[in-house]
Amino acid sequence: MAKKAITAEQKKALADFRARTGGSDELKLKRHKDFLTARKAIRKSLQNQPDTVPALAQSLNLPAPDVLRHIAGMRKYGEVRELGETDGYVRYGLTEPEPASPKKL
Amino acid sequence: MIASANNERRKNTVVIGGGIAGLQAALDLADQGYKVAVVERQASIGGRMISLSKVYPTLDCASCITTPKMSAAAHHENIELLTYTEVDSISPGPHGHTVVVTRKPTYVNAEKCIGCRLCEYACDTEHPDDFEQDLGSVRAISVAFTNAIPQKAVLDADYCLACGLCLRACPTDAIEFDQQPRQETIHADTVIVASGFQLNALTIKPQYGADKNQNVISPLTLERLLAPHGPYGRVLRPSDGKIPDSIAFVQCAGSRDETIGVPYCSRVCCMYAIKQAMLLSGSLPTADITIYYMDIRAFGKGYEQFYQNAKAMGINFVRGKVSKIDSADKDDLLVHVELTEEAQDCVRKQRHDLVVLAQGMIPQWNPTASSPVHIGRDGFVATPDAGSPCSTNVPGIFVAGTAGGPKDIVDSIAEAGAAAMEAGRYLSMRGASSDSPRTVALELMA
Repeated sequence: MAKKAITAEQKKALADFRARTGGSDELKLKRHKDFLTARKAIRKSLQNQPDTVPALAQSLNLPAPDVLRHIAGMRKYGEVRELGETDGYVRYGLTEPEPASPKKL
Repeated sequence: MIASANNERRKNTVVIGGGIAGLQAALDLADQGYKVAVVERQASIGGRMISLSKVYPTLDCASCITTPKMSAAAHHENIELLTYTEVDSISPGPHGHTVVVTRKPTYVNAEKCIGCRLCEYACDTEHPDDFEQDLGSVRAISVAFTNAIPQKAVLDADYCLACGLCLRACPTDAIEFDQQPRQETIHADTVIVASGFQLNALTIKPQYGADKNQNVISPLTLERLLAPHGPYGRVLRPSDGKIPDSIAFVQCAGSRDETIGVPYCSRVCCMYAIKQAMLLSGSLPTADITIYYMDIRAFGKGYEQFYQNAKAMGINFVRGKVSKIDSADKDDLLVHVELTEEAQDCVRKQRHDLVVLAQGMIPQWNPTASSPVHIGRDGFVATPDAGSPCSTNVPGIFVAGTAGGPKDIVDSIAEAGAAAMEAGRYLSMRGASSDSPRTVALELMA
């Protein structure tokens, strides 16, 4: 779906909201940056090969509980899936991109 | 800033809490023709029960029981749901009770939102998911959970970066960043307090090491791990995602202990531990499952048989008191238990992958700060008249479910029916039936 443009009125409401709730305070932005960095690293690693949570945590130097939470989030939003088990741990891989919708006959 | 109380409603009954007890009471009254408002602090009704996997002793799916009641309440012509709403005060008066509530901003216009979740998929900020006991993650704007009612998105201002991605994605222009908390007043003839329970802190007994090891978990966390739509889709331990081989339940880990202020029995722990052990033995057939208990209280209909079935399934019941839980290597746990059935004092150390602490049940909400309702020594709503177990010290205010004390789902539903009956009787004594001239006149005034 094509993304819509934001109206001037919505822009003003957003700016007011940001000022009111600390939408762009340093802590929030740092937390978000860390989240995106970790998520990107996990995605990249899984692109190369499916892996378990402890193996991902070790290779990316991230805490294992954090990696597990990322995997849970990625699983929830359809980015990863289970690909079997290795030594008592689940192996996760990226989901295949959905094929383009078939042309209408 | 909270907007002033300019929105007033008139109802026969206000039910505080949209859990199973509150919904049952609301439905029972609404079916008799009374107008009911259900005030729920969360974004969805359903309470604790909607987050459970299955119920004992039938092992029926908890959602399959709760969802029809949620849906019935949402679609009932006599019930109005006020979700994401906190109760500020309840003031009794000569003509009924005045309940002041604050509608928290969801930043989404509920009339316009169609629950498509395009905003949720567009958002790129995630945080630990409260519904999943912080195991999974959820985006800053989201529908509370899969079968939430209402199916409306809610934006969490604590995590939102105000990037505007949701605004661009929403097909109905439902996102409203200018929403503010709004105070509203409900005039009601009766109030039913069904505000439910919470568990005391996992760390209330430091000797159990929950602050040091993430594999010491709450029973509600295990419920989510066991739920088909849980955070991992299967049972994994939170520290590293290992499929647990050995799971222990430590009973009376937050109840029956004067030193932590919970001298009473929480009444449900024995049975849910047995239920969870049975479910675990189904999902992890090769795992060793041990329940460390002081005594098993299987008092309800069919409960003793349920307990015997669990023993027959190979679940290991060990009578003893766990003195402490240490962290071992590889995130494992070492449980120290004093075996009380041995001839001589005997302390055993047992290694487990995952330990579930049976925390104590404590009230979710203390009404004394905002109403004249009294609480008992245990903190739950006091019911001074033994002949009328749902009545509080205030005429017209009733209590249902675990707001009045620890009880299981079956008893909560039965008590909710009783509270609705008592409220109905009170309403009819006041002549406040749904079609009475007084109520019609009040409706016109509202």
